[in-house]
Amino acid sequence: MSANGSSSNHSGEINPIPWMTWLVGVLVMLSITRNFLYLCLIVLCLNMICVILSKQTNAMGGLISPFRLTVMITLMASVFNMLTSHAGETRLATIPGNLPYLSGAITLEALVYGCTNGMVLSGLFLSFYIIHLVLPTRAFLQLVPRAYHSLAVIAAIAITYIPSTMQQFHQIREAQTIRGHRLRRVSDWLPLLMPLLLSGLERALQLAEAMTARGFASQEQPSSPVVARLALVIGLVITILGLLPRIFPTSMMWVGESAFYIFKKSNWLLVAGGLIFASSLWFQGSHIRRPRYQGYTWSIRDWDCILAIGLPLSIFALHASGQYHASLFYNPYPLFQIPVFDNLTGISLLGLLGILVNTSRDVP
Amino acid sequence: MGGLLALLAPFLSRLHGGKPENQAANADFSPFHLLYLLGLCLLLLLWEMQRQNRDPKMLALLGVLVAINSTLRFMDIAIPIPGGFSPIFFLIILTGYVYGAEFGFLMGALTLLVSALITGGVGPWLPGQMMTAGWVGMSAPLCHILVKRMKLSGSVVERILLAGFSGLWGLVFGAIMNLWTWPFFIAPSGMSMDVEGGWRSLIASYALFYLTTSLVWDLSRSAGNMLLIWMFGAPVLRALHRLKLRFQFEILTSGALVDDPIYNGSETTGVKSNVS
Repeated sequence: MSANGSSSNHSGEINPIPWMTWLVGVLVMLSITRNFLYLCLIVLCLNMICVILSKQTNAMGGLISPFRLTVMITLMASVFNMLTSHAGETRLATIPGNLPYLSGAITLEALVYGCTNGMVLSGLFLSFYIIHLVLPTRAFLQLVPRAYHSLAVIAAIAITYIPSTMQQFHQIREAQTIRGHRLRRVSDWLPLLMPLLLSGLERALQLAEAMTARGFASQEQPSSPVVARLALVIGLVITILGLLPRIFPTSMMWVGESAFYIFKKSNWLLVAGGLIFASSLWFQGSHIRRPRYQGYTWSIRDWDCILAIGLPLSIFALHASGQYHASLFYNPYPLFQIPVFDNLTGISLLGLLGILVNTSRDVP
Repeated sequence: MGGLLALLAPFLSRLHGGKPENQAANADFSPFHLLYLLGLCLLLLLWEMQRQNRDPKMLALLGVLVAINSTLRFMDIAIPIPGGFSPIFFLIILTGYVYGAEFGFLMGALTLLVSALITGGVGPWLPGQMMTAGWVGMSAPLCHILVKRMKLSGSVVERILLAGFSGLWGLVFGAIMNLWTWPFFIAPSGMSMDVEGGWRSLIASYALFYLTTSLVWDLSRSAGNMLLIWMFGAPVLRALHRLKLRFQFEILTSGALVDDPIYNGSETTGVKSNVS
């Protein structure tokens, strides 16, 4: 499955932020729930979006269609789990003999668990595939925070040079073929690899000289304030502190009641750590000027993305601590039971399709 | 260290109070937490590394090398090669070996990032891949220390050492990359996390999981890495060393007071070579 640059012929004006918000929301939902009924709905919606977007963007056919990929991953995960995990009470069959890790009961619970894993993995693949279909590569670069301008420059150079590097590879290959070179052994790749590398290094030298001649990095970069640099570390430390009660739940009981308190507050520590980290990055990048060849505007349609993910995500968040808690955190072991299905949650998941409104704009 | 903690956190979480009946579906430490921590660590590391590499020469060199490496990965995807073989580690290891740990880390992490952008390989696995590939490049100078101390530069032993190192990373890369899925996606079985047996049991079950699902795949990567380093390592190393010398020039900006005796302390603009 590959987008193969299909994104570049579409969505020149699409704002990447709502799409990334949508992606994060889908990832959170896929991470939260283990209810295969909800997962089925999510994966179904993602498949529909993939099919419609592939037609809209005229995406080049990949090795495998999204639907086939979903079926393949789910099947593989189910079979693998069924054969290797013998836990569960509903026995479907038995593999006789003493085959290591294979012999034993084949259970319905293992099948369901494997199927659930397969759907989560397919959901992950599909959600990123959708983003790759919609957003051009430059939109990803625009998302790089200003504090990482050097890395963005490197990535921009690399992305710009890839087509010419590939072209150069073909030219070298043609030139070597004319000289009678044939690819028979591994060592025959050397006459192709070395000119490619050397010409690339020469270009790097020329580029470095050109960049310097045009004044790139000629001005002394203000060094980051110690406080801002320290804030990055503090943000990370707070995040780790927030995760400690999750990593060592019982080991933290030595602090008695306060451990429970910390545990309850750990989500806030995670958020606070992340915010401190992000603020420090923002501050350190605030003095860097970013030229924009093509700016993005926030339109009403962009709110569709936010709504499309906001609605199901809010219901998931409500249920995570409410009466339908069990329906989200479903576990087929030890005895399989049909998971609880909340109609409201099910209907809200169909809202994921709302992002398609955002893609119906004209290609610039 | 933070990256290691993120990857090992699920193990620690299960060992310290995780309940077997809950571990499959209701674990306190989810893949989301792992991704969050790993992402922050990667951002911090990348920020620190790029802060120390603002030289336009290094940026250009890194950009072009990442482009070459991403092209190699693109070819790897276009021409299916059995197993986990990927030609990208060849350049990551050699550039890390020649240009140092920071360069190696950035080369590894950015190769994975850029190639994922162009091949549609962006996913939740990407921060882990970037971090691990960065570690591959960052650890390559360890070989350089050994080679320098034993004065083996340019010898066959240097190539053997690098080939062995790349072969080892071929296996370790796969073993590390499994860590973000194994604790969360494997149902109770001989290969899943056995929290009641302690560390030994945990390592044994992971080893079994690795042997069953990944070893053959990773052996192909390991053998491919060794073959590439053995066949092409020497000429590529020579080219990288030569370029390293050519890249050691400094642009002196207008108005800079030059201490160098050749300029007699005058204000000037020019190019100064650092090559001795």
